[in-house]
Amino acid sequence: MSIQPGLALEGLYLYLVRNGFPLSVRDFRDALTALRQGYGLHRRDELGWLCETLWARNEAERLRLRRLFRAFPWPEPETLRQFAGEGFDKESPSVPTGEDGPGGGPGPVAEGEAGPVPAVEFAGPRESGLALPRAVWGSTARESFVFTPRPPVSLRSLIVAWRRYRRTLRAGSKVELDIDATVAQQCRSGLLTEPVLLPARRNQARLLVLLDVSPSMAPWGSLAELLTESLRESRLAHGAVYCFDNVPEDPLYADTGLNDPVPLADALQAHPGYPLLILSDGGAAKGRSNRSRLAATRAFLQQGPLRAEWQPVVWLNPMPRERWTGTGAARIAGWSEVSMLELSDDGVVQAVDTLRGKRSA
Amino acid sequence: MNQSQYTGNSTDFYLASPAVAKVVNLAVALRRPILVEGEPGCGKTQLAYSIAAEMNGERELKLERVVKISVKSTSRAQDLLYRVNALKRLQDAQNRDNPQAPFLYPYLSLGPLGKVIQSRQRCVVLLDEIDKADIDFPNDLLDVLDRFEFQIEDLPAEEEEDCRQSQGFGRTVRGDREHPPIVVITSNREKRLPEPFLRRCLYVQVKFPEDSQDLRDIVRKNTRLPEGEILENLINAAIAAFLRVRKLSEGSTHKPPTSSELIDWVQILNWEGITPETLEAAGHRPPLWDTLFKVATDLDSYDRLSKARETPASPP
Repeated sequence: MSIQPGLALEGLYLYLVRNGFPLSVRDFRDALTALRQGYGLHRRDELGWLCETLWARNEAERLRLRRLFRAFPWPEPETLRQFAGEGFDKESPSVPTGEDGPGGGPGPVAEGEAGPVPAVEFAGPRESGLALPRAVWGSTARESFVFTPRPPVSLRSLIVAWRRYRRTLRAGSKVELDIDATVAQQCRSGLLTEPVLLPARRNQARLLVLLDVSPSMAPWGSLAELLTESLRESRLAHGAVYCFDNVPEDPLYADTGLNDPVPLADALQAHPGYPLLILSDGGAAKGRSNRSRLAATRAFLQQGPLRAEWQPVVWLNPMPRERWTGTGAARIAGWSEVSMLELSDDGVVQAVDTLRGKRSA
Repeated sequence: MNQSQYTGNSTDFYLASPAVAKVVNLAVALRRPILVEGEPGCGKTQLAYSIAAEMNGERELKLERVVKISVKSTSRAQDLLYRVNALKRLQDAQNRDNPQAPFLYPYLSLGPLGKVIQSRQRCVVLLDEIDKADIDFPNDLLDVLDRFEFQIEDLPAEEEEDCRQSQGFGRTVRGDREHPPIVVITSNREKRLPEPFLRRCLYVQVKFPEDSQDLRDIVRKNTRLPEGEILENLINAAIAAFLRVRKLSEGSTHKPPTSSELIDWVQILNWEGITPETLEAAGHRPPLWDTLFKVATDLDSYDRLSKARETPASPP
């Protein structure tokens, strides 16, 4: 029986794709090319190395792939040996040993066999065996959980979103050639004179971010760093981040540890007319609605400096929208002073649109 | 290297670990760019030169073997492919009798990457410190590095034939896709690189070699010091002292010293006539330890740390 490496690799590929590992057909073809050239043959760990090198783009993906690969029964050494028999009988180039494996035969399949092939463990309910009590998990049974903390949006997508937030005005030193004015001037004077220059267009968009660092926001602890870094790369004229505990009120804090208080009035005065972005779960993380906190939040949003100069106030909520129901977040989302959006790739893009003045319906 | 594999240890100036060599070979076989990351001073750039040297069957470092493109914060992808000297054309256009100025092609020239693609020669291209450029830069290069082909959109179609005759290229510049250049890209991780870009590259992490035998080889390969027993003892003692300093500085300094600092330090120790015995006796504060650090805050914090280590706290 001969096994096409393509077919055999396909099994692994489809298994990874089904498990949500981001792979494209091109990745598959690359792996196939590498196998044909003798990489990843002969030993299971060699194939694992090949998949990790080709398909994982960072350490997290590498670990995930390793775990998935370990749980996958293919390929057994027999299959690998058949690959070798298929004419891919080169010594694996990555294992430079002295012996010359002459073509044909099963050749250099040595230590690989020693490595036991782990049994597949399906993480699903088993029908036989001891009856274990089942957790009753009502309407949220279809939720998926992420146990390694990771931000809901990547740094890159944040930067890209901020870069769409533009308000260009000509400002600064005169460095750009004004062709129309130059031509007009030369026509008037009839002489080759100095060209007319004008200031370059610069992004004047500004942003004031208020970040909730209360314990309910702990799962998104990396957001502060992410925000600061993304604002630095954003090409905005200025972006400032302040922190608060549960309710945006006086004082705000300059650090995530809430050690460096800044009077609210000072913060608002230092950033006059800045569109405001609030990042908080609004009670959705704990599934609560706290009347006094809501009142304080509303008082903050309705206060003088904020209302006087109209500015869009956008609220990004890291909890998924369906979890807002019945919590403070749903109440806040209903207020006219603020647009609450989900903190996701789409949500950030919508937030930027709102900040630019496009009120979404 | 077309016939044989990259070994990483057959040059006089560089030593790559077998794991790194393995990925390099795979990348060459798949015609994919190699993305190299690692601490500054670990030899990311040298890796490209070592691949080029092995490819040409040479042992010594030759700068001209690698087409090095130093990426800057202002770099644009298009500038690597071609440039139009608009200023010269404007100047020429002032003279009505100038026959060139009405055409664009005399002012067109290929950039470093464009030249490599046009030459269709197998060589090593080094895109050094790609993370310095804007975040869109890698994405703009993606297609070119994939297909080794690009379009000169600024060149009008009616000038294509003239351009081909005078400059040797038309609107489409095609490289040899069967034997494309080996592209090595280094990054210091100052900026996160875009996902599609990472997907096209094979990733190599150059780690600091903790093994003193490897360090000895690296120092030997990179210092032009005469062989001799005395020197051998000095190198051994210096490496031992260096590893002590590095271990103590890890975690508390911004940039712990790496191989490039070690190489310089050994040469300085040799010039200054420091003896191995002095090094061995010096503990965590070997002579001239301050040349191992590049940042003022690192110097201060190591100074404090090593002093605290040298003078054990006296009982109250």
